[in-house]
Amino acid sequence: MNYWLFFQTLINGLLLGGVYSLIGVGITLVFGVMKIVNFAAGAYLVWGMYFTWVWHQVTGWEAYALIPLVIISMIIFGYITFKLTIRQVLGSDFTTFILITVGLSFFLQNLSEVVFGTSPLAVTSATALYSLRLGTFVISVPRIIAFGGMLIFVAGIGILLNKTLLGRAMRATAENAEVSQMLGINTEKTFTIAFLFGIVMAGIAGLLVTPLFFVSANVAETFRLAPLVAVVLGGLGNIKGALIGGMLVGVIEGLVSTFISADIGVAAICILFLIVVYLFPLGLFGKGARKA
Amino acid sequence: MTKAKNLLQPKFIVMLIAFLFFLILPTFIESNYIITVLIKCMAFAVFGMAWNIIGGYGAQVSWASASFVAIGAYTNFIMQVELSISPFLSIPVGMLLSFLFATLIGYGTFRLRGAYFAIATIAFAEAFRGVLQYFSGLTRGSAGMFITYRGNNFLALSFSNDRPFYFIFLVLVIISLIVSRLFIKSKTGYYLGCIKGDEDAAETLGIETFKVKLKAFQISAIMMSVAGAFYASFLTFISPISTASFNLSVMIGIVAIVGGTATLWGPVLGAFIIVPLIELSGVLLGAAGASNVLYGLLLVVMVMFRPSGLITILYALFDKIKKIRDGNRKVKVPISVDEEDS
Amino acid sequence: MSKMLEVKDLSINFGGIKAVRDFSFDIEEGEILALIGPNGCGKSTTVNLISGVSTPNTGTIKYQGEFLTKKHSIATRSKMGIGRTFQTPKPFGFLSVYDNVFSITLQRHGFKEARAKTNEILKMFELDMVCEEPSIKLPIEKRKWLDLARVMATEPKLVMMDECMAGLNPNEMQENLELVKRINKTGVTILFIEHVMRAVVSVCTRAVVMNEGTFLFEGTPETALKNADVIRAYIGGAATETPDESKGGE
Repeated sequence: MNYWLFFQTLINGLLLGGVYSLIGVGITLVFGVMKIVNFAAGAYLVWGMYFTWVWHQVTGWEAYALIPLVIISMIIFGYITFKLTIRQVLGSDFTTFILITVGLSFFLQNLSEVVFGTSPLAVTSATALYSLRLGTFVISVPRIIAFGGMLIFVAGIGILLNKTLLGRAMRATAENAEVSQMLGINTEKTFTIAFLFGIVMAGIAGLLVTPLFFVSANVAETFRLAPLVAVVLGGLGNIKGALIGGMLVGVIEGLVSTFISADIGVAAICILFLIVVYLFPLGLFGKGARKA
Repeated sequence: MTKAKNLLQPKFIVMLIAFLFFLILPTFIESNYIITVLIKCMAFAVFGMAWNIIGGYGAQVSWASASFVAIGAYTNFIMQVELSISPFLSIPVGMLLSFLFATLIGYGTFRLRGAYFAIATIAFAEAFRGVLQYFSGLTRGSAGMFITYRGNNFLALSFSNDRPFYFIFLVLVIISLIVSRLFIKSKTGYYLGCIKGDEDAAETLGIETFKVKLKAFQISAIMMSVAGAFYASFLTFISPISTASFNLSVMIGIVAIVGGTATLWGPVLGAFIIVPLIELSGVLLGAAGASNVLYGLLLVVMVMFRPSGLITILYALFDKIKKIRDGNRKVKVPISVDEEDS
Repeated sequence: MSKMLEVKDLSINFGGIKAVRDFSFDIEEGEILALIGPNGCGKSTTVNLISGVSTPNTGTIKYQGEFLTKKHSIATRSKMGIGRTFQTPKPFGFLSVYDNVFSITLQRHGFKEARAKTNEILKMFELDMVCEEPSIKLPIEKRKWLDLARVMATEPKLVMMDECMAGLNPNEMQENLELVKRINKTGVTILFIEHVMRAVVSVCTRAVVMNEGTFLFEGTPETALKNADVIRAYIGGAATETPDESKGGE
C-alpha cells in the first residue's frame, strides 16, 4: 500500500468529516431536544452556501468574514420555514416529521435552483489557493479552517448547553419535555431555538465549504446522508458521538473512494451504518436512543 | 346470499365500471402520448401500492423504492442483453434479489424504532446507485442501458407500439390491488396495523414487531421490483438517474401520500393525479427545479393539512351515498320487512 | 399451590440511581396479589423487569419454574402467558375496538375461531356496543378496559395490572374490581400494582409493600394497612413524591 496516499487521504477525509460533524451535531442537538430527526439539513446547507454567495456579491468580503451575516440570514430563513411547517405539527408521531422534513428538503433544495439558477456559482476566496505543507503532506487551508471552525462552533454549543440558563432549559427539555413544561420551561421556545441552532450549524457548514465546492443545489446530495449516518454512529442525541461519528464517516468514505472507487464510497458508509445499527443499536458510545 | 349482496354494493359496481372503462379506453385514444401517460399512471399506482405496504400500513417510511425498481429493471435488462433470457424468467431473480436486500436493510433497523429505518433506506439507495455505476461492465454505468426492438414478442416484452403495455399494467394494477387486499386481511397485515397503532403495546401483547415489519418490507420490495422490471421494458432505456434516484423514491412516496396512505385505492388515485401533474409541470415549468419545488410543497402541505390523503374525500362521499340509500330504505322498512317475513 | 412467579434479589440502576434494589417476592398460582407502595418506589420498574422491557442488573425472575433471561423477548414473555396493562392505556390508534382485540386473538387462533373469541371477550368487557369505534375515541375508563381485553386475548396465565384504578371514579373502580374477580375465577393469576392501597384491599388475598425500591412488608391487606412501617413509608413518601415514577412507568 502507498502509505503517503493513505495518510494524505486520512487527513483529507478527517477534515471533510469535520463538516459532517458540524451538521451532525446540529441534527443530534435537534433530536435530543425535540426527538425529531431533521432530514433537511443538507438543503439548509445549500442555502447557507447561497447566502454566503449573495453576501459575498454585496460586500465583496472574504467568506469567513461573512459568518455573522450568514448566521442572521439563516436564523430568519430558518425561523420562517420552521414556523410555517414543523411548528404546526409539533406533537405528531415520528413518521410525520420524516415526511415533512424530507418534503422540506426536496422543496428547499429545488427552490434554491429556481432562485439562483442551475449553473454552479463560485465564492472567490484568496485562502482557497493556499495550502499547508506538513512534511510531504499537503493540506489545503480552507479544509483546516473548516475543521477549526467546526471545533469552535461545537465547543460553543457545549458551553451553551452546560453553562447557560438556556442550555439548562434545553437539557431539561431533552430529558423530559412534559415535566419541563410543568416546571415552567417554555418548551415551545426551546424547540424553536434548538431547531434554529441546527439550521444555523448547517448554514455555517455551507459557508465553510464554499472554498471547496461550487455553490449549487446538488451539494445537498453530498451532505444528505453522511451527517445522518454520523449521528447514528455516535448515538442519536449524543453530541460528542456525532462529532466523532462525522470524522469516522469522512475518513472511511475518503479511504474507500481513493483506494477502491469513488462510486463505492457511499456503499462503504451504508455497510458501516447497517453493521453499527445491528451490533451497537445505541451507537458506538452506547448512549443513543433506541426509539427515534 | 350475502356474497351476492356484497357484489351489488356500490363499491363493487364502481370497481366493475372502472375496470370496463379502462379496458375499452385505449380503443378511443388515438394519441400514443396519452397512452404512455396512462401507462405511467398505472406503473406509479403499482409503485405506490408497494410503498403503501410498508410506508402506509406499517408507517415505516422507505426512501429506497427507486432502488427496488432499479433491481427489477436492471435484472431484466442485464439478463436479456447478456443471456437473452425472457423477462418472465428474470423477474423471479429480481424478486429474490430485492427480498435479500430488503432483509439486509431491515435486519438491523427494524429492531429499533423510528427514523433509523428511514435513514437506512436513504443510505442503501445512495449506495446502490454507486454500485450500479461501479459495475459498469454489466450496467453500462451512468450511460444507462438500452433494449432494442426484437419484433412483436410477448415473452421478450418487445412490441412495436406501447399499447400492449397498457393492458399489461392494467393487469399489474389489479394484481397489486388483490395482493394489497390479501395482505391487509392476513395475520401479518393485522399485526402491522397494531404496530402502527402502538408499537410498545403490540410488543407486550406478543407481536414480534421485528419480524412483522421485516416481512412487510420484503413484500413491498418484491412488488416494487416486479413492477420495475415491466416498467423498464416499457421505457426501453434505464439509467441510475432514471431508475435509482432519490427523486423517484420521493415521487413514489408522494403518490401514496397524496392519494391516501394505508388505504387500498389511495395510491391508485394518487398516481392518476401526480403523473399527469408531472407531465403538465414538465411542459409548463421544465423537468427539474420548478416542478420539484411543487412536489416538495405538495408533500409538506399534504402531511400538514390532509395526512389521510385525498381518497378520504371520496370515501366520505361513498358513505354519504350509502347513508342516503340506507335512509331511503329505512323509510320503507316497515313494509319490506313484513313482506320478507311472510 | 405452586409458585407462578418468583422474584429474587432484583436490582436495576438508572443513571446511577437504584430504582429497584435486592427486591424479592413471589406470586402463588391463582391468587390476587397486590404490589403496593408510594409513588416512585419502583413498582412500575418491577413490572417492566418482569415483562422484559428492561433487563435487571442483578437478581433473577423465575416464571413457572423457568428463569427469564435476556433471551426471552417482550413478545416471547407474552406468548409464555405473562400479560400486562399500562398506566396510561395504549390503544392501537385508529384501529377499531374490534380490530384491537381481533388482531391479538389471531395470534393463537385461525380467523373463524378468532372472531368468536373476540366477540366473547368484547362482551365480557362490555365493549361490544362500541366495537366499530376507532379505539382512540374511547373515554379513559373504556380504554383501560380495552387494554385489559387485549391482554385477555393473549390468553395469559399471569396479568400485571399497572395502576388500573387511577383516574376512575368509585363506581367505575367497583365495576373494575368485579371484573378482575371474574377474570381471576377463570384461573388467571393477578398482580395488582397500586399506589392507593384501599382501592384493592377487598379483592386481594395478599399484599407486598415496596418502599424506595425494595421490600418493606408482606401480609394480608388489612395488616398492611395497620403496619407502622408501611404508614411511615406512605407519609414520608407522600412528602417527597418524585417524578421518578414517570421514568419507571414508561
